[in-house]
This record gives sequence, structure tokens and C-alpha cells, in this order.
Amino acid sequence: MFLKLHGKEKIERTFLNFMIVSNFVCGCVIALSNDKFLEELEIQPLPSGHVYTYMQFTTVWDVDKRPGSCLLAQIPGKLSSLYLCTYGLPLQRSLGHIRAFSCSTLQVFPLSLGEILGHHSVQELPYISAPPGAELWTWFKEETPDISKAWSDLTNALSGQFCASLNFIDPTNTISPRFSFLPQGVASQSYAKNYSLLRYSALPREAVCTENLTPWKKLLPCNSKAGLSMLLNAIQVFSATYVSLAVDVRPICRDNDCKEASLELRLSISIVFEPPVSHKGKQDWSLVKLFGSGILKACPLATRSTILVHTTSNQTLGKFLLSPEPSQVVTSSHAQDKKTYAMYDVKKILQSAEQLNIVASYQKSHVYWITSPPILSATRFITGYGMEQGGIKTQLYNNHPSKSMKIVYLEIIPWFLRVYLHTLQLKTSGKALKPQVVHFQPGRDRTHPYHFEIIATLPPASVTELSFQFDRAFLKWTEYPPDANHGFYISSAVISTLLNSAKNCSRIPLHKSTILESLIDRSVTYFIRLHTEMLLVSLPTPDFSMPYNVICLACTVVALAFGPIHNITTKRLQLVEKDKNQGLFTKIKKLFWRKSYVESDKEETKKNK
Amino acid sequence: MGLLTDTKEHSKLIILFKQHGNKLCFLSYVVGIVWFCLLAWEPYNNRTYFSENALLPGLVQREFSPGHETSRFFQSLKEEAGSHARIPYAWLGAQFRQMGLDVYDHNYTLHYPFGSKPNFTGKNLYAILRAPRAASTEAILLSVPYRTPENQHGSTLPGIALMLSLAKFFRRQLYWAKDIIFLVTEHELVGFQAWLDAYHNSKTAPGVLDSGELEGRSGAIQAAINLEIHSDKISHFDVKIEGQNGQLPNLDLFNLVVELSTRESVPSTFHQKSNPVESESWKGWKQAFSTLMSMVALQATGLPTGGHGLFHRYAIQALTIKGESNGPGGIRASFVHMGRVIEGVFRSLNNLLERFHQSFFFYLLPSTRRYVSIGLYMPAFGLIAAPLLIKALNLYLSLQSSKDLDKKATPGMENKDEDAREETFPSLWQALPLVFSSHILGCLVYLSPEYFDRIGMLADFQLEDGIFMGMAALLLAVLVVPLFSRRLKRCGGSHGIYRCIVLLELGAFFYTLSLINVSLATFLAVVYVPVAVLAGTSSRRIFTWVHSLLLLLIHPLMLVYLVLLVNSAYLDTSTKMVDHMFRAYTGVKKVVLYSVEDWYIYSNWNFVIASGVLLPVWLQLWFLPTL
Repeated sequence: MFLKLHGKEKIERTFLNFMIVSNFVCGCVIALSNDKFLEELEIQPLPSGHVYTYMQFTTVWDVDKRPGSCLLAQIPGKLSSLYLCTYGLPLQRSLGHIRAFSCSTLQVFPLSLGEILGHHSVQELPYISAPPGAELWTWFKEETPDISKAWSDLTNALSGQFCASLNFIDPTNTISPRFSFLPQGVASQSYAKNYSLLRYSALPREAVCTENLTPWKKLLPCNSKAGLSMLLNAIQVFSATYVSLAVDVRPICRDNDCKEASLELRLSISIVFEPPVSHKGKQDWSLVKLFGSGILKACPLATRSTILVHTTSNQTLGKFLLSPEPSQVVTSSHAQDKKTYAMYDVKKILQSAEQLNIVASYQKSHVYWITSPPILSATRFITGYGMEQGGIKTQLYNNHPSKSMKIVYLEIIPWFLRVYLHTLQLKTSGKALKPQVVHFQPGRDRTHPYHFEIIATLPPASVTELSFQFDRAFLKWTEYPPDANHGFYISSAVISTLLNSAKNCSRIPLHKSTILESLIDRSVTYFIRLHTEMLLVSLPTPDFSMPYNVICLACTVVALAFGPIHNITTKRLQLVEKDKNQGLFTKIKKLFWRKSYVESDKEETKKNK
Repeated sequence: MGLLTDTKEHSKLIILFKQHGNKLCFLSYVVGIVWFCLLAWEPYNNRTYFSENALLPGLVQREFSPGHETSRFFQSLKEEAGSHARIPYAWLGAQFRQMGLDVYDHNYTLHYPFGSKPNFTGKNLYAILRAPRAASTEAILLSVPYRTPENQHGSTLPGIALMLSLAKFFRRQLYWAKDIIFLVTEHELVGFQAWLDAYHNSKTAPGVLDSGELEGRSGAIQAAINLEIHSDKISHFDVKIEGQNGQLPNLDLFNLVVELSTRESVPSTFHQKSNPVESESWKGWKQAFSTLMSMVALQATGLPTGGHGLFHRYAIQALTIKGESNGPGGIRASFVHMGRVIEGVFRSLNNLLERFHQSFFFYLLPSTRRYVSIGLYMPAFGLIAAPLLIKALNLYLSLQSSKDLDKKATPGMENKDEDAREETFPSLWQALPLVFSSHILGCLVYLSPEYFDRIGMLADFQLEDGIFMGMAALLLAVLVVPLFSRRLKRCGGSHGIYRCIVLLELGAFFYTLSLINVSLATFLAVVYVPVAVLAGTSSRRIFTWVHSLLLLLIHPLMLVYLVLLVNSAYLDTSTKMVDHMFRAYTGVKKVVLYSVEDWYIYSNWNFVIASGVLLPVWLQLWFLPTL
């Protein structure tokens, strides 16, 4: 493999690993020049008492436009392989009850190239929406010969790279969604419609832990030795209420003309802390309290290193004092929503100070409020009880008082829950709601999952219920996991929509790379993606224990004994009269030449007569 | 023609069986009862143990130390309760919300199906503690039914205060892997049923209980602990396990509560009896036997002994911990001790990796530390009910031989071919008309309550009178049918066939029932087996009369009456017998109404079992002498 990297040596080394992975699928050479590395941290104290921190490390390479070299060079006509890999600890519930976060688990994705250029994007908090467990989706380039193989190669490579069990992604949990996932970054209309190039999979059982964080940190140019990444102390990170790691790769426009593309790698981590629980009811936080240490050194490789503290709520809700004073106060306004941020330039501050520790001290103890619901929210749960049948119901809340909302709902159900399409119902306050599109792909035992996508318009200020029924299948006894009685997970449903208001939401626009850029964005609509809860379903499980074996054995014995006993009790044995004077010879003869014997027998009887 | 169907080749064994069948029946019945009684004796049962290793009750460190907080909660709650007619929702909700929990209300409506069909509304309050770093896929539940001090069952306010205090403590802990739901219900069982229905989005009683909608949910509930703590200082915990239709929670959960309360030095009892010093003595047996029998008696009613009883249907293991202050040992525990026991239980449950599946779901308890597993009690029950099958087989065989004898008596029949013999083979189908008609009658009784209630309303009867009188009238009318016995005889078929079928049906019913509710099955078997086996054994008039009297005594309604009478006389020895009889009579009326109600609201099977199986079988027995 020929790898030519210009620019900073450090980046070259640390990114080597990842580029190998990239090349695995690209199968081509990437040449880099003029790259930049930006690190940003946003801290947002929430009215629910939580403190949300989002750290993003963005690297942009300008890739050489060399014919036949890399897919990225052929933008915008043909599109490249892109990967996105989001690991998340179950955000849904943890953030689901942080109401002001409202659009709790939402994520940016472009709908198509045209829409990107038309500045369609959403700014939303949290920046990255993640389902519980791991989620991976990829658009492959058009010339990929065998997408299934490329997909399996990719999952295995990423699995090794991030020490995650992504290698458990196989055809039984992979789908190609039609409407929910469109190419990220620049892509042509025709490319975006070819959903056969898309692979999506979610592993609800995968949990994020230190073994995932360490390789993730190693992708950073300064590792965790300098810069914002110094804050990523595993003990602090994993004792937080919520953690989610994400890696996104996408091609972006190099400049406004969008004649050339650059490759963008975005590493992001969302952590939610809950200071009132550990700090005697006060929401006080500081970098040291949250992360265990301040920032001692700036990363020399970083083009920019910024910390933003969301101070919009400082006037209304619990007031806090920030120290040191911010380098600058930034204001962003989307339509009516005004947001203010205290900005810290880490590099600048560390030139004069030894350590950077931002402290927010509150005057009063935290008061828990009844927080208002987000514009769009959803809950999903299992209905019914017992082991034979069951159902899933999703309640979709459109809390906008006057505007209806068009959504795309995606559901993947493992094959062992046999979904009945005829039971699929969509109801709004008791009345049936007619969906615009229903795409249903039936599952197949041990081959692929059930998957459906629904496009529907939710009326304003309404609760829409989507429900369907399933049967629980019997697994083969070797198919049960060691903890069979724990239950089986169903991954989150994915809801995508376009919002008109970015109230209570933060989001990096699709055509922007960094948080700071997003503050000056003037988008009108915002794309959001929402993940529902994952579910735990019990399947009929045999008792894998000694009594079970005994029962099996006893049943076998009974089954074997039944025939003879039934025969003895209901049939009578009758003696068949034998020929009396048969010699040994005739017996043998009878055995071998039955017919001739019979004939001879007849002759004998005739003679006797 | 096989062993059973051909009398010619009956082995000696079968002949012996036929000769000594009656003795065998008697022996099996008596041995069964003795065996069942012996189950309480130590050598015949086992010590309890933890089957689910993940619970790790020994490793759970209990740190709950609320200081005076719980008492403060209790005081304010008492004041709030005094000034509110219903649950002080605002106050309770605010308490939970201040801890940072998600608080929700749950409204439900009960459309009472009888009488003037009044509507009752209720409102539960629940709060969910979301476990950090977990996906809300699993939950544990702590519930308290709301009862003010004026309530006849005793106040549960101390329990709610303890729940608040625990919630505050739990909220500060980082180790939770499962969500914790705190539930305060209104209107006792109806509240529980409505909440469970709403949580699972199921309809147990369509048209009767409108369970409403829940705004917030957690995941699958793994276990539930229901608290009924009547005082801030208690002498002991009484653990109640019997659920609806005789369902029991996993034995591990029971063991867990007993173990942890022992570790906190809070005495735990089962049916108000603590664990006797293990001994094989007569005295030890007597205490264990009385505990066992009180469990059997309660389980046999098929009624839940607390809010926990309704959880079992949803495969949620649940039990009630009742804190009482009138125990013999004096006051032994305060809020801290109680809280620590519950903390321990919840931490253990939090350790669970899989839902409860080990240990036993079918068991009887002679004390808190010993159990009788299904493998031990089933043979005893099997022997008690075995006479039904023995007698049925015996009857069937003798039916066969009598036909054969007939044939032999007529000359020239020996050489008849097989087909002819098949024809004379007794067909059990001949009993079909009787079985069918008696079951139709059972169905009528099952469907009747609504109509009788309507008639009762027209006649201006009381609620319980309407249904009871109607049913009694219907059943009395049926009792008279044998007077027109000549008509019945036209149904054809032999007497033996009817008896055989009745015994078989009763046997099948008892053995099936024993798998669901062994206590009820054993009780019914002990009462029904002798009468059923003796039915029609002699045609002497005096015998028939005595037998009919016995039969009347075991008529389902009469049986309820007798049980109530015995119970009343046992509990209160000072009153006169006449009073007891009258009390039992009013009791029967209520029992009939309640069992119908329970069927409509909670899907309790008692009414269905009585009307659908027991009554038809009884009717068949009643008609026997006339056939």
C-alpha cells in the first residue's frame, strides 16, 4: 500500500491506522495536503440539572484530484465510500428525560446534494444522536464490486480498530433503508437514490467502555497528551450519566464553489454529567470536577482549540458565574432563537496561564422543574405479556401547536419475532392515519431481519400511535446465548424529519464542519434524527439445567415406551399356526426361495391329497 | 383386542386389580392424605437455598442511613393525608420531583358491571428513577397501596415515607443497572390491575376496567416488592406470597427477603409464624403443619393476599412485605432497619443478569426456611386423587367382563368373529348426552350473573342478593330434575359408563388443576374423591339417601358455606352456632358476588372453575342414582 502524507508528521502517524482502514474499502491511495485539525468543546448546563458536554475533533484533508486515485477525487459526479460509526451508550433514556434537550437524540444528515446546497440542515442538541449500543452505516461507492463483502470487510476492520464487537454485524441484522439514511456530505441526486449502496446495522447489546475509548483517543493527533483530549480521563468519562462516541467520515466541499472535495473525519464524544447528585444539590461544575483535570497544554497541531459555554439560560434559570472571564462572547440567532456563548481560546489562554480550568459556580441549589416536552418525541414499548405473542407500540408526539410534521419511521425487527404486516396500524387520537409510503420487507428465518419504513404526516399537537403484532419464534437450542433468560434486544427505531425551528436544539449544519461555524449559520429547516428506546423481549426459553435434561430424557423414554405399551394394551397377540413337519433344510429354503418353496409346498399338498 | 379390551386374556394382575380395586382406592386415599400431612415434617422437605447465584445477597453492603429524614417524611405525610381525601398527589409528586425523578400520574376508570353500574375513577402516582448509563430496558418496582390510618387494613403511610426516603437514597447511588419504579396506588387491587394493564397495554377486563394511558414507561419489570408497613417501629416483617389463581413468586425472591431481613436482625415470618428451631419432634411438625395448612388454605382461595398477587400474571416476580408491630418479640426494628432490608433486596435484584428462572415457582412452605418442592408434594396429591382413576378403570373392566359373561351365557356365541365382539364393546360415548347437558347448565350459570343482576335490580334486591338468589334458584330447580328420572333413563347407556365418565372427568380436572393451584386441587380432591368414588356403589335405599346427603354437602355453594362456617367458628369461639350459621350465609352471598366480580375485573378463575367444571361434575354425580 502506497501512502503519501504531507503535512504534519504527527497526524500522519496517528492517522495511519485509520487510513489503513479507510483504504481497506477505498482500495486506493489517498494523498493529502493542506490539512487542518480543529478541536472544540461545548459545555451546556441544562435546566434538568445535567451538564452536557460535546467534544468534537475535526480533521479535514484536501485530497488530491488524481484520476483513478481515490473516489474522493471524483466528486461531485461520483461519490465515495463513506463511513459513519456511532457508538452510544443508551442515550435515549438518559437524555430522554432531559426535557430542555428536547430534541434529545438527533443527528444531522444530508438528504441529497441538492438539498445540501440549498442549505438544508438542522442545528440540534445533542450534536450526535445515538441509539443504545452501536450503530454503523455506510454508503459504498458505485463501482464497489461486491458490496456485501465490502461491508463485511469494513465491519471486521472497524471491529478490530475500535475493539468493538462490530464483527457481529451480519446479514441477519443488516438492511438497506430506502428513505431514512441518505449520503452524508456531497453526493449527486442519482447516487443518493441508489439505496442498494447503503448498508445500515445496529447492535443494541454493544456497550461502550474503556476499550473503545482508548483506540478512539489514539486517532487524535495529540493523543490525550495535550489539548482538549487531556480531559478524556476514562474513569471520569465512564462514571458520567451518559457517554457516546462517534466517528464520522464524509466528503465535503473544499470551498464555496464545491468543485473539489475534501475528506472530513469527525471524532466526537458526548458526555452528560449530573452535578447535583454528587455535589449536594448544586449544579456547580468545573473542568476539574467534571473531567478530573484541567487543560495543561494546548495541542500544537490544532489549527484552533475552542471551548464554548452555553450561557443563554444564565439569565433565566439558575444563575452561574464563570471564571476565568471568557475571551469573547458569541451570539447566534436562528430566526427568533437567540443563543449566547462564552468562548475560550485555549491556545491563547495557555500562553499566559499554566492551566485552564473553567469554573461555573451557582448561587442557589438546583431546583428540578417540570420541563416542557420537545417538538418531536417518541416512546416505544412492548405490549402484552406471555411467551406466545406480543406487539410493539410507538407513540409519536408532535408537540408543535400548529404545524404538521412529515416523518420517516424506520424499524428493524430481528427474524425471530415474526411481524404481521396486517396488524400494522397507524392511529392519531383514535382515528386511522394513512401513511404516504409503507415499505415493508419481510424477514426470513436466520437470513435477514424484518424491516419497514413509513412516511407519514403527523398532525399538529397530536399523539400518533404506531403498533404491530408479532409471534415469538422458537430458536434452535444452540442459537440461544449463554444468558438466554436475559432476553433479546430489539434495536431502536429511527425517526427522521425536517424541523422549522431550532429551539432548544443544537446542530452542526450539514455543510459546516465545526460548532463555531454553525453559530453563524442561517438555515431555515433543520434535519433531525431521533432514536427510540431499544427493547428487551423474552423468547420462549427452555430450562437449560439439569432438570431440563432429566425432562428431555424422561420424555424420550416415555415416547419410546408409548408404542409398545399402546400395542400391548390395545392389541392382542395371536398365535399363527406353523407347519409342523418342517426340517431345517426347508426352513432355509423358505428363507431364500420363498416363491419356489411355496410352489413346492402346494405340490406336496396335492400329493398328500 | 388388547389387555384392557379383552377379558379373556386378562392376566392375573388385572383380575387381582379388579378384586381389590376398592381396597386399593381406600389405601391410596389414606396414604395420600397422610403423606401430604407428613410433608410438613422435616425429613420430608428441604432447606431453602439460593439457586440464582447472581443475586449475591451475602455481598450486598447496606448503607441506608436516613437519620431523621424518614420520620420527617412520615410526619409531613400524616399531615398531608389528614387534609386530603385522596392521595396527596401534589405533595408526593413534588417530593419525587425534587429528587430529580420522572413523576407521572395515571388515571383509570372502573365501570362496575353490576347493580346501578356506577363508575369509579382512580389515580395512581408513580416515579421512575432512571439508572445512569443504562438503557431503561429493565426495571424493578417498589409499590405501596395508599391507605390512611382510618383504613380497616391499617395505614400504609409509614411505607410511603420509607419509600420516599429510599428513593432519595437510591438516587444518589451510581450502581443501578435497572430503573426503579416507585408506585403509589389508589383503591388497592384495582389500582394495581389498572396500572399493570396500562403498563403492558393489555386489557384484562375490556369494558369493565378502563386502564387509561401511561405517559412514561421503563423496560421489562423484573421483580416487584409491595410494602405494607403499618407503623414506624415494627416487631417483624410478614412476607406474603400467594397471588391470583394460586400463583406464587419465584422461591428465590422469597428467600432473598428472608435472608436479608435476618441479616438486618428484623424477624421475618410467614403467615405470622417464624421459623421454628429445626426439629423432627411432634411439636416441630405441629407448627410446620399449621404454617403449611394456612398457606394451603390461602392459596386454595385463589385470591391474591396483596397487591403483589396481580403481578404474577405478567411474569413479574412479586411479594408483599408487611411490617407489623404486634409481634410476640416486641418492637425490634425502626425505619433504618426496614430501609436497609429493602435496600439490600433492591441491590440484590439489581445484580440479576437474567430474569428469575432458577429455583422454584411451584412449592409449599412449612416455614420461612424450609420448602416442599413440586416433586415432593405431587406424589402425595397424586395418591389422594388416584382413587378416581383406579375406580374408573375398575368400572371399565368390570363393564367389559359383564358383557363377556352375557355372551358366554348364551350358547353358540363363542365362535363369533372379531367384528361381533367389537360391537359389544362398551362405548363411553353413550355418556355424552349427560355430560353435554350438565356442561350446558354450567355454561348457563357462567353467563347468568348479568341477567340475574338485572332481574335483581328490577325486584329491588340488594346487589349480592340478586346474583346469589338467581343462582340458588337455578341450582335448586336443577336439583329437582331427578324426580322426573324416568325420562332421563331414556338417554340409554349403562350406569357404569356414566360413573366411569364422571370419575374420569373429575380425575382429569383435579390433575390439571394441581399443576396450577395445588392447594385448591388437594382441598377439592380430599372432599370430592370419597363421595365420587362411592357414588352408585350400592343400590340400597339407605345408602342412596346418605350418599345424596353427602353430595349435597359438597355442592360448590354448600362447600363455600361450610368453609365459611368452619372459619367463622374457628376464629370466634365465643359466639353462638346460630350466629355463625347466619354469618356464613351472608358470607356465601358475598363470596358469590366477589368471585363473579373478580372474574370480571381481574380474570380470577374461581368462578369459571366452579361454574364450568365443578358444578357440571357435581350435577352428573347427582343424576347418577336416577340413571
